[in-house]
Amino acid sequence: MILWKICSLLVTVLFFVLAKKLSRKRPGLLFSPAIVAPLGIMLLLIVTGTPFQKYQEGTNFMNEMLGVVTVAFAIPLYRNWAILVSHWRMIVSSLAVGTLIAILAGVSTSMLLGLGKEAAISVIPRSITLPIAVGLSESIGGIPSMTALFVMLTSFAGVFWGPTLIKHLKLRHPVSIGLMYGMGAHVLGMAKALELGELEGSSATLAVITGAVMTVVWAFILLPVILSWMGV
Amino acid sequence: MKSWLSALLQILLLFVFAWVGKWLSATLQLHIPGSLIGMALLFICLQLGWIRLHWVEAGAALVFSQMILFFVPAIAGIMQYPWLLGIKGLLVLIVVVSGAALVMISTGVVAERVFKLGEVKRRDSVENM
Repeated sequence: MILWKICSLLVTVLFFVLAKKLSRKRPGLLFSPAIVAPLGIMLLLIVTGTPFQKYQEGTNFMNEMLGVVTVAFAIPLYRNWAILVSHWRMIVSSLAVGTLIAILAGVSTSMLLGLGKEAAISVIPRSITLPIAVGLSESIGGIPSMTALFVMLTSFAGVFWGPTLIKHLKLRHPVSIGLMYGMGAHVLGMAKALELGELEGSSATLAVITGAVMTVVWAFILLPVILSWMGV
Repeated sequence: MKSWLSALLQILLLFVFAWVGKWLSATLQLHIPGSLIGMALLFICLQLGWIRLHWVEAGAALVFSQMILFFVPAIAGIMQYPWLLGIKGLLVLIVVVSGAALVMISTGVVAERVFKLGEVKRRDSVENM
């Protein structure tokens, strides 16, 4: 078992390093390590006929690390606390609306399209950063890997929409641009916003963290309503 | 080498917070992800000055820079849903892409509105950007 763990961790790291090398050669969303490395792992598992469960057991250390990543978010939050406090009205109101829309839009569209209950619950945490989303999905009875998929897709979609929306909505204030990126595209959004400026970057970071906390709050307030609406 | 070692030690410290959060979440039957509780604890400790920023900064930077690596197994888990390749997968894509736009529009518009409604104008050095 120990040997299997070391093996699967090493293979995962190897694929990740290779994917990073590739993305340096070919920048762009499609060649992001977040897509290439998992695809490589999938192919390997299919070719060798290894069930995914076994690989999951081997790499559960990575899930522990996701928790550590979440904890580390306390640091940018602490650093930017003064900015957060001075713009609190803007931040709280826009993120409260954003997170609420994220949950309602996700649940209602997935129910309307008939994707089923599990998908609808797994879609609830999709507008927050992955490590927290996976944890929340587990706590409310969704499927963590499905949530991970929704989060990733949302992140890519958010980066794709970003520039268009800034232009059409005539967003001027760096904080609103940052909030939008953080809320829409999480970690990728943080990187994108940081390219625009320091204040955009830190607002995006704050949006990612605060949005996550708010989504958790909304999820627990709305869950009974959503579940009864689904007719559980 | 030394900086690597200290960063690793700092990650261990972050691990302790994650672990305590997990333990609290389990013992108190809270339905909040343990990692979030750990984050709150670390933030409070930083605010109170019990933990100094430079005790955890390098570790956090290292974790953030390699963040995608820890997502790889979670994303690979998609292979458990072969139906995503079919028509249902297309529907999922519609849900996600439309939802993302809605969320970003509402967040951006509300933020901008509130700002115009008389957010106390601070003299940001970024005002001219």
